[in-house]
Amino acid sequence: MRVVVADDAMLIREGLTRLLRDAGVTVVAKASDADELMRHVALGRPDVAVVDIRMPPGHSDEGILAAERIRTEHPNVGVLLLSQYVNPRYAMRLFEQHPRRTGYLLKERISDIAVLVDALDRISDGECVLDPTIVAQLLKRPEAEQALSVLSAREREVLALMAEGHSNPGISEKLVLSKKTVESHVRQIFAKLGLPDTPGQDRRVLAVLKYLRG
Amino acid sequence: MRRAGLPAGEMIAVAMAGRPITRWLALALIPVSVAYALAATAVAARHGELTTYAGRSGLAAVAELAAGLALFAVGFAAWLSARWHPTGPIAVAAAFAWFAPDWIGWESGPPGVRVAALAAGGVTAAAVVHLALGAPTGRPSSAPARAVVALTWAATAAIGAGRALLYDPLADPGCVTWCATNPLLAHGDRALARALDWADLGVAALATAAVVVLGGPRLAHASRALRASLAPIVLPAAIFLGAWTARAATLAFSPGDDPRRVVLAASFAVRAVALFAFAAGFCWALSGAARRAHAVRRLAREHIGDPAAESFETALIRATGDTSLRVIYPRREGDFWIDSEGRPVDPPERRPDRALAAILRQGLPVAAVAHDPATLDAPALEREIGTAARLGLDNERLHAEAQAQLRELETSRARIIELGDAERRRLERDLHDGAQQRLVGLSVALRIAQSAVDERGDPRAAARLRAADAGVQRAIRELRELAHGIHPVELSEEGLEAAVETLGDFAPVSIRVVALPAERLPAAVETAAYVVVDEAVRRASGRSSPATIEIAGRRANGAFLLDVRDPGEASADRVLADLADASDRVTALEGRLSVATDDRGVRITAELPCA
Repeated sequence: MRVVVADDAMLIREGLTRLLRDAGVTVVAKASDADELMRHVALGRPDVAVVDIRMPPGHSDEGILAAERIRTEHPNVGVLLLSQYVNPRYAMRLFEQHPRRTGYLLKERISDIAVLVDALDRISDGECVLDPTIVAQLLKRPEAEQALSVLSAREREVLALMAEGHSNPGISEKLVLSKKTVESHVRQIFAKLGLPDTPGQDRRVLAVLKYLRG
Repeated sequence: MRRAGLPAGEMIAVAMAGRPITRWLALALIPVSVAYALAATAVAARHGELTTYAGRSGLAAVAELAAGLALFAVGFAAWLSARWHPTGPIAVAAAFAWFAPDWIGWESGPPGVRVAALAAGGVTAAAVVHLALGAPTGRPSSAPARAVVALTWAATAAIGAGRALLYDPLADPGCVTWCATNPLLAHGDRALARALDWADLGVAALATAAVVVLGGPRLAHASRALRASLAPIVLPAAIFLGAWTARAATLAFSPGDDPRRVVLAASFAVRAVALFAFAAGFCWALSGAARRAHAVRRLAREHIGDPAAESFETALIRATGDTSLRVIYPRREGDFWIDSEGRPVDPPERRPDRALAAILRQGLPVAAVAHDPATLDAPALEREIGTAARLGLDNERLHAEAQAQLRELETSRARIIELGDAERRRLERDLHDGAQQRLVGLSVALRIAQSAVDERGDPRAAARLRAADAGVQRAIRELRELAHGIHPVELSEEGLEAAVETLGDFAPVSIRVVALPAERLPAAVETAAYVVVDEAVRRASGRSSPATIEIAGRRANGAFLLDVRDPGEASADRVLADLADASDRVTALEGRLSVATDDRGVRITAELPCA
């Protein structure tokens, strides 16, 4: 696994690099702004770029813009956005354009190296990743709670994992269920919620998120 | 009639102060001028049958007399009108000079009279130039006009004096009107006298062109009222000067001032008719001013009876027809002026094309009326506004002052809120980009330390580090919630729709956005609208009954209209009481926040001005 790390805060950039290297991930380059990041992505050919959402000069959404550029210009390079905001809009904006090889995690996740490496693996496998905190937040919404009351507890677990971007094999692994059982759960969920026919993996996350946001 | 106890000397002083001495002069001149006009006509009839226009035909005599007397009449009327200005004496001088041809052609008349008339012959044309460019006060308003008037007078005086001193009738083969000795002749020089004819033509042509060039645009750009009083003066003046130029050209190209020459006779006829029309036009302008002064006087009396009916300004515009008229009020504090709505206006300045009447009450200024000097005299206005009207104006001033203070209060309120918002935005950024980043860095450092400790095999130390990291993670979460509560980042970065949607993602009540504009609105409007939604959602969150809050916003007629429906609430008063911050913000932006109830619960409506 080869990654490029982009964050304008030196403490985080270096700490993250150290943690990733300890976990056996190759950090091919470090960048402190979007331009530097684009250069390293073009030169270093990483599997995934880990990008802070707020970077100089404007400290607003430069990270998202850079992510969109990377996904467009280098379709083989995945992007993991790190954000200090619990904001599903940012994540959805990214998934709408690029439903594969993208991820949105809260920044503090980086200290949990297992979660981080798992996310990087999934992204390089072509999945997308959404922070569990954001999914949990969306599931807590009153409308969502009401609508999801038709689901069984197990189905809700499956739905949450779908929203986090897990594929069916991923879900079966996580919940220790057979692939077939997971598939039937997924079909059940879509039927019960009145969602259109099971979309492909690419569009599934977005469909679930849109449903949860009402 | 003597007033008791007042010494005679003092009485004269009082009389002089009230009626300047020039008024006595005018009164004395009236009979003199009538006698003069009749005498000139008689001289022409009896001693100028061949040498004067008036002597050659009865019709010409009638035209000359009518024009001259009309000019005398309007001159004295202007002279004696309430306010003295140069129009009167200039018109009277022009009328005196108008009869000059009769005296020049006085066969066997006194040579002194004839040469004086010769010298004064150009005065009428110069006066017409002056009066046309300075109409109706006799004071030209623009610098070019003043220059033209001054040059015309100077050239006319020089040519008149030159003729008196250089023209020798006996050496002029073409002399007809005056073929006798010139008693003032200093140097009989035929070539110089001819040169004066050419100079006369030059002056006449230039002055005529100036009146057309300067008067035309002035007419075109004047207000309706001003044009109505200017046109009857400027147009006859231009015709008169055109005829005068034609006469000068004829004499320059072919000498011989012979009343029998068709061109000269025609020029005289045209000038007589034009001068009569000119005098009539002046009369019309003067009477218009009198009418307006009367209207103002009546207004000053009646306005007080019904102060609520219309503002003084509207009433004055109606009375004078001057749409450029403005009434402004001084503020007691500082050197500021405001309009009737309390809006600050530029301080009044005295300009030639703008008159300013200061209205005082008990020695203090209560208002100033800026207006077109052609439609009304500033001193007339100051005089006509009576005590009662001044009281009314002072009330208007107090109203304007109150409006201005209200406006200032609103501005400072809006500014305070704006500053507060900027501070909250800054604080939010500092928390996210500063404190939160450091905590994340700290968490990473703890993890690195933890793995080092793990390698060494110290489970207790590892457990402590894990607990410390959990604490840091909790601090990060709390900090994030705190920062979001201070200011939602989506509001400043993405706008109202995004902020409300994000609010909906986290609120414990359900929110339905019916419609919100995707485009950005002014920051203060976005924040105020957001606070309305936020407070409505917050108070609904405290309730146990679930209800979906509906939010709709749209731009219409220069305002942003926000509609928040809460079906789970029935009391409008309770809602309004809980919307304190929202209400403050909306009113600070000069908007309106209202809460109404119907069968679908309460409806909060915010109307925010948004150009």
